[in-house]
Amino acid sequence: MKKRNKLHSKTLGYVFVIPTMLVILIFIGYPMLRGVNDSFKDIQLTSGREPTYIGLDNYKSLLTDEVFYIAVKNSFIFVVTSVSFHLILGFALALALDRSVFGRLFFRTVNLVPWAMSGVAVGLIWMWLYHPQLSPINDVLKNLGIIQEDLLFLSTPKSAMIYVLIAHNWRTFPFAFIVLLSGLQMIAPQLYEAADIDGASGFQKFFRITIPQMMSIILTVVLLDFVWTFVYFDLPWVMTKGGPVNSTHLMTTYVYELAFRFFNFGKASALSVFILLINLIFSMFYIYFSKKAEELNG
Amino acid sequence: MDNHMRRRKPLFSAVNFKESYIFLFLVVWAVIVLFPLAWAFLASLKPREEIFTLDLKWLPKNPTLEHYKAIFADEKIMRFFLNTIVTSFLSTFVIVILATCAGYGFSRYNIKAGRAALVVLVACQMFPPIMFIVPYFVLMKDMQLYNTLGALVVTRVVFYLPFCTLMIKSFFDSIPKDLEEAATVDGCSQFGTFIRIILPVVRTGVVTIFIFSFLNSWNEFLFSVTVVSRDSLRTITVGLASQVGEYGVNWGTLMAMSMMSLAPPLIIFMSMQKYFIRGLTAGAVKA
Repeated sequence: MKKRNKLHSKTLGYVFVIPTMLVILIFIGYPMLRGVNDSFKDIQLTSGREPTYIGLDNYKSLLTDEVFYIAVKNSFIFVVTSVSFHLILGFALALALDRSVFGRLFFRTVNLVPWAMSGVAVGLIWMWLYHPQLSPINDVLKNLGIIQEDLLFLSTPKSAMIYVLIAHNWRTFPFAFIVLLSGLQMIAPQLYEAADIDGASGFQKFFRITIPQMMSIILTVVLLDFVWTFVYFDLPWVMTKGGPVNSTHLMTTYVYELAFRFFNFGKASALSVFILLINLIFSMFYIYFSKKAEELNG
Repeated sequence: MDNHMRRRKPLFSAVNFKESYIFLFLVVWAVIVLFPLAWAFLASLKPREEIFTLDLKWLPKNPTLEHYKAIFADEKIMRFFLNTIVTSFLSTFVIVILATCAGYGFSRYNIKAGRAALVVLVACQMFPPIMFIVPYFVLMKDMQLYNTLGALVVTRVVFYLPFCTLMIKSFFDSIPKDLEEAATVDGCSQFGTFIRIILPVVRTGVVTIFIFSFLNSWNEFLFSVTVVSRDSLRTITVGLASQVGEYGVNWGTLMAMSMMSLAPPLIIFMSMQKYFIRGLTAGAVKA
């Protein structure tokens, strides 16, 4: 009994834990409160005015701001498209590589490569591929006779968002793939063997065994992917800075522009709080649904 | 003849037909993944006049290392790399120590409000980094850290520490408690047990958070561009991004610079992917 107490003596536990929690309290807790507080203030660095509380004016100013609506719309397009694409492609790749295929290790490695790369470098590589005059994509598509006119890629508001999305998804698909693959490998083979004996088709096995067994992992991938994609900044900012004519602004890139191009810290904070709220609401949904899924399974 | 027929037969059966479609899918996708990298790499080897010609050639006619040489001769760019190396190692070092200790504490000690603290760590994943740029800009100036390497290290540590702590905690959770109890019976002190018995067992976890923090620190952009404005303190991502939009971008040099910035994380990732995948999926599945 005494030994147990010694092993679990609390003091040392606190010594282990407190430094990390202090760092988080000081450098996440405090700045976050400060950010929320700033969103109710008029802070315009270039104006020379002293910051003053102005209630909800920053939020009201967002609601009458055209770019805000573009950014909200784009952010949702960005997230929904990316998460669906990651899930579908990731599942297809995971199913294809969860079996003995010639060159399995090679394909698995290739499908992880983009994920180790920085959004900035990937953004530049794709800008080079999208070069207005020197794009190999135009070259290939023209030679194949698929297009007559050069694609304009990032230089027109009509299509810029699509090409940012392509570059972004090229870099980010591996996460869903690798998590889903390891999920598939955790399903007990006995389940499939039993289904084989009962004469189940491949289709039935997929919907009756694979999907239900993977449900909690799919939910986790969707949550993390949603949250990460929604707050993502680097690659879209490097590629377009929100342009041309604000057509590719996401909520995150607009926060940055408000803060460091217009120096309107108050309004930038208000938009940040808005992003935070959406993330929290989505997380609530996630918790609700994963509880439901657990009840169903269990 | 008979024998020959029998051996070839499976090629035309339904199963193999399906298999070849799956294989085709994997090959096509691998080409899509590798093509942009190859195109960028080839550009880094082409002399200027071969890059800026409307008559596109895939392979460089006269491959050259001039772009790489120009980078090595450019003190400013070498400074970007040096800054990135120093901040990445420093941040990773601090994160690994803090996260390992905290993860062990949470896993093994019955800490008051421990559950609440863990919830805070999970909630940290939901906070958008972008909402911290304005507060950090001000905070770093108040703390006299604006335009210092310290600011780069602090921002990295803060934003990767919560996830790393959760990740390594799940590794500690998977070790049976008997291990420490046996060591304590043998007269090992609590701290000695942690260092000599437990740490060696969770080395996979330590390697995992090392790779995670190092890759992310190396690739970090948002805070590197926010808390530092001086040229001599820029990291490589900021250095790369600053070239965009400048008149007459030299794409050959820019692609060579990108390739050089990608090499270290790719080498580390590839050589240790086994660890990383195991750790990441453990963390993601449990979170």
